[in-house]
Amino acid sequence: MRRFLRDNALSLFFFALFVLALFGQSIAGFLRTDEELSQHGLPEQGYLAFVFSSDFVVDVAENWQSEFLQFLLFIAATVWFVQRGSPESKRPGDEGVGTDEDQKVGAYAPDDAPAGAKASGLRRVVYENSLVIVMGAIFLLSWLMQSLSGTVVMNQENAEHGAAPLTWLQYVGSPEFWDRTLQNWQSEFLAVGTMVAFSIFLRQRSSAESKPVGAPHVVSAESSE
Amino acid sequence: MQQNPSGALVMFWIWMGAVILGFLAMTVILVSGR
Repeated sequence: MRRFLRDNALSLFFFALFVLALFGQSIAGFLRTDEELSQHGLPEQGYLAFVFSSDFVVDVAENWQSEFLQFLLFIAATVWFVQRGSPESKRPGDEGVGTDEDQKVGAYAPDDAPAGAKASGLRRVVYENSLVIVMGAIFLLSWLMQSLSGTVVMNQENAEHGAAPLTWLQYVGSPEFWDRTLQNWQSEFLAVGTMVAFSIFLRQRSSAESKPVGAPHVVSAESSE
Repeated sequence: MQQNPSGALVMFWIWMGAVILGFLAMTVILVSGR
């Protein structure tokens, strides 16, 4: 058990943070919604009614989609683009998908390689890109959930104000949808960009996300190995 | 033969399970029209 906790401390730490933050969000969102309901002279709803409502879903989904888009783009863009000196980047000159020998696939796969790396054809193509495929699928699904639950929330508000309901397509073209979407995207891109650029010059001693403290600014983590 | 680090598959499915459970819950909420 102790070994399990130590070997998986990083995932467990973030899982605990995720559960606590989601619970906190649900409490704060519930209290905020109840305030709004009482201000409009409407009956308050219970906590579970809020958690199982589109109000909560749209707030969760819009943040999910932007985070998964961030990692999707980070994973895919670092295949083709480099930043000299950043530990998040490959070395300049290594842009592209690399050779089978570099990537230890097919005939170059060692005995202990994953089965997908030893396979050929479509199965290997899928495994070679499985991280982007899964992160991309979660991004698209979250964005779809955001748009569907956002439509429901907007139409509930429209009904309260006596306005006509929107179709899903109308909502996807609405300022409300793009305001929610882009306010999340801009912050993700800012955070990724600063991470790439700051990590050239700044250090965190012994972090896997940093170069060693004494590594020169000009080398990436990979070339300093 | 390939080997997995201890508990890694458990962690993989805890995270994948959280995401799948999240989507299932969202789908149920949307379908019920709440």
